[in-house]
Amino acid sequence: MKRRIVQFIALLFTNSYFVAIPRATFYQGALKGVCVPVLNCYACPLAWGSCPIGALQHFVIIRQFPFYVLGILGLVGVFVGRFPCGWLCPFGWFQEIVYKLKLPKFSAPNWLRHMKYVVLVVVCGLVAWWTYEPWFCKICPAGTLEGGLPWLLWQARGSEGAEGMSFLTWVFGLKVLILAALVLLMGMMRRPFCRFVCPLGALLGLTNKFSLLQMDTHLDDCAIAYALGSDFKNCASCMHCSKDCPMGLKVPEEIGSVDCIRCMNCTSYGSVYWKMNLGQGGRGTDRGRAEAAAARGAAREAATATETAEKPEAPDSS
Amino acid sequence: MCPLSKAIDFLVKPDPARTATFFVIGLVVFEAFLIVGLVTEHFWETLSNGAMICLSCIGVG
Repeated sequence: MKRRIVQFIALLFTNSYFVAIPRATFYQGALKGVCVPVLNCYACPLAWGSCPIGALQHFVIIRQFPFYVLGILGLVGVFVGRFPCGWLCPFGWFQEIVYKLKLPKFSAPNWLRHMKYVVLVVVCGLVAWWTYEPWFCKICPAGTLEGGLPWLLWQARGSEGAEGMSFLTWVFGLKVLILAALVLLMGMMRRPFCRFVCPLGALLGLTNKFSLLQMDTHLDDCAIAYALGSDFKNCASCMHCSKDCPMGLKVPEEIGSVDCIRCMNCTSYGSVYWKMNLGQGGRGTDRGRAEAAAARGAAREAATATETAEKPEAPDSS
Repeated sequence: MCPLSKAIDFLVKPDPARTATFFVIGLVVFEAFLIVGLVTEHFWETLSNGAMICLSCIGVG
């Protein structure tokens, strides 16, 4: 719940040029030079920052090494890894909201995760290089939702910037179709775009292994195992933390992998901690340990309460 | 686990000190990237690209 609030605040923050609404315009100031470390389309009329993937493709097209974009993303990455994906990305938040719809749920094969690297290298790199066009932007579902559809509205309202637009191109049809298909998928599986497609996640994920913020496990502390009264070492038997992972990771094994978005969902079970790479170097920071201990305490209390409720009353000896 | 993840895992996982070393190297390299990007006016290039929204680039023009 706390994460949802942070995600919503981040959505409002990255899209806070509210002046655009009454004026049917968009922001063109100096802040558009700042890349935000989330997938937030800079064509969104409310956005004040630039999308790093759009900027990356631009530098590929003008044949310059994207020092600035990689510098920003790399610096964010070395400190917190994919944390922005889990806590700040508006499109990630949207996917989690859509997943709450009552649709049949299913999982996807793990090998699809590698597709995001293909998207990064082929679509954002090679295709942009060869065609001189940012093709990922043209078909990006986040761009359709945040940029394409609002611009359609702006045109309907007679915005000066939207004059002369012919929306019924095949590209617009294609991108709306992709968005519609993806929204359907979002309802049926967790964060399909982040897991299989997002080139920004692919880039940030590379820093997960050596970022300052790290995730670690201590399986003896699993609160669920304690509550179930099972062997503490046998954590894989319940898979509660894995089921709670928005990226579909097998949490005990893949907790620090390139796909972990540091959402901290798994920390509520007590066996997973966040810690700082430098400094203490132990099992976690004091705060991480305190949170884990609180989760274990709650599970123990719940287990004790259940035992007390189920215990039959002792017969009266008198 | 993907091969790239395995490779990075091999490089940084075995030793916390090595992980910390990679963090420091990453910090220095990406900070240098950012400085080079700013010196070579990439900020203004990003600004002009972001502020002049090409409607065809987002597939609506």
